[in-house]
Amino acid sequence: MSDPDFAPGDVEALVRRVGCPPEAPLAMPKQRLERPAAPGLLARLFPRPPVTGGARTSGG
Amino acid sequence: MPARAHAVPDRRSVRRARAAAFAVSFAAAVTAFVLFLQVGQADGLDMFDALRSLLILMSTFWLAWGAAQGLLGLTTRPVLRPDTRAPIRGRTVVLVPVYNEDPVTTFARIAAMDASIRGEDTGAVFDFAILSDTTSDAIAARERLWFLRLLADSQGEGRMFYRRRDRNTGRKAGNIEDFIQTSGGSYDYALILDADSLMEGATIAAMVRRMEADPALGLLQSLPRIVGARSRFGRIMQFSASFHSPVFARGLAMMQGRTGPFWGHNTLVRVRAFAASCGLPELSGPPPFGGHILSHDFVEAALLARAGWTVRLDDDLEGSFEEGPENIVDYARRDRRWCQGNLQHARLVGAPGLQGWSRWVFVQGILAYIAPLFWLAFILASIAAQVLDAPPDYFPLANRPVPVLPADETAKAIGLAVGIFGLLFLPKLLIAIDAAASGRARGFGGGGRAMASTLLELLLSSVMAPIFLMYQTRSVFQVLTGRDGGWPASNRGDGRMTLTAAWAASRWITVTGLIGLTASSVLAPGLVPWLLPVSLPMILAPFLISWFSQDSRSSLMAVPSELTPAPVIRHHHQILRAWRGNADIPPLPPGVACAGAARP
Repeated sequence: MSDPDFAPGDVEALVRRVGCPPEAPLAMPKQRLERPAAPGLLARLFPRPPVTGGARTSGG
Repeated sequence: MPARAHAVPDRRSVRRARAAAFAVSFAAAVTAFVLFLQVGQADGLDMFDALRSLLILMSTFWLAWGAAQGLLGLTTRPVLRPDTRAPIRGRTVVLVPVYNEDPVTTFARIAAMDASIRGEDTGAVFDFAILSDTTSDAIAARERLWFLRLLADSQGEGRMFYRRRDRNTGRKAGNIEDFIQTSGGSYDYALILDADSLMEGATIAAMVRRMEADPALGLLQSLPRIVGARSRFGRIMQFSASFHSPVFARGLAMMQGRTGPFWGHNTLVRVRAFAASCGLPELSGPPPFGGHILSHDFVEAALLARAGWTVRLDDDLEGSFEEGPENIVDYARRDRRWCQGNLQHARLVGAPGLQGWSRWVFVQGILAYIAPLFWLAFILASIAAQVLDAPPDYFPLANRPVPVLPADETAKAIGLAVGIFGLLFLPKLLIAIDAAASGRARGFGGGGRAMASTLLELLLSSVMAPIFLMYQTRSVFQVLTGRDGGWPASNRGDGRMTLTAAWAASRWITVTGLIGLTASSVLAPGLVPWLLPVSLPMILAPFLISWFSQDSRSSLMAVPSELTPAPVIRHHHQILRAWRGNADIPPLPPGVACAGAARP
């Protein structure tokens, strides 16, 4: 058996030209499969205070 | 009175079927558990008796669950889905993911399917997209050449496409996802195939019509029959998939209702439903339990059901084919991948929002790989019990010189063994009887030959079972110890194995069998006769693997696709002959003519 005979070098470009699937994008959003990791017991008992943020006060 | 046509078993029937299967399985498991406890109690209950009773409980449940599925398939009426010739409005793309496959064979299948669809004259759009994840540049170069040949022979420009990904992110699921993200908007339906899939045009058209008739249907799974097997092993699998599987599948369909399966190929999906519901995330952590989802199909079916879509297995669809492994080693290699994929689902059993049945499907997949280990643990516990148990005390009462003999529980032990073998063998025997009575056996060479084939299949499967047990055990341990099996390409060619190759692939099984038999003959000689059916096939594994991989010339194990091949199978052979010349093409079975033009 031998492979079909086409001019070498042209094949890749030819396939790209004639074989390219239609452009019609469709979004495929990632699904949630894992529950967010629950904080450990210690973290729940002694939550760390936020490093930044908190209630803003006016101060100019 | 003709039965009412309906597409899915109603909710009440599904609930009844599930309840019956669970009830039968629990009853069988508890009976086996109690019987084994009573047998163990005869000479005093100890830790090993309790452990073995528990192992018997779990193993019997799993065996009975399989048997219940078969019995359910035998005792329920097939769901009627009359096919119509309604015009097809939607656009369909046939997706053919390839991964280092032989392009000639694969693209010849596409040419055969394309001709078959065009023969249906539906007037609808059926495009083909070859989605190459091939990593070998040499094979990719051949893919491009043969794609051009396919285009030329099928006049396929504008409706047959080929693209190759630079990086095969997400493997097959990622390959499909990539297509949907770039081109999915052009199509209403996508028929997802494997490289070795082959389907009749009439079947594909019927699937599209069924999906158009039910706007809630998100995924329609057909039941692919294995075709093209030549080896002894391949033909056993082929026979079982054609003769027994449809009945088991009908039982499965009854239990699943609208929460059906996706087996990854020979399946029609509604593109927008699939896109909106089935974008698979990477799981946290490294493989084998983290990373890309390996066995994506079960997960996608669960996600579609979570989103409210119907996922259906239509076991009445004919004309859906695939090829299978030709030897035990190729089967074990594929099974290693499936093992990892199914055990990875342990991470997803608790995924938010899934339907209860979808979670149970994940558990079943896990059990399929864990359950054989229960038998191995049972054997090991039995040997340990013989070695470590204290001998029975015939004089338990100090002041009484009369011996107290253990109660004779032999009848219960035999009853237990008969029951367990019954669960293994009875459903298949009943299927053979049913097929003979209904006339279905005619396609398998007649009732007598189908029964003889079934008996031979049971015998040879029992011989192979210890070898599979060892491969599965190794796979499970590899996954549990964190070894990623990767993504090896499937070997779809001639599967014949020399003794040397078989020895290289299975010598560890021989050595394990020899050590096990020697150890038990020293430590527990009474168990040796019971262990021989397990240890002998292990010791002889290389011979058996090589023998099973050789061409089969038996008139048994005949299937309809051998006796009267479907038109699309014949056409595939014709195209292959035209493309390759006769030398490389496996002949169709004797008596099957290959007349007609070579061109699609």
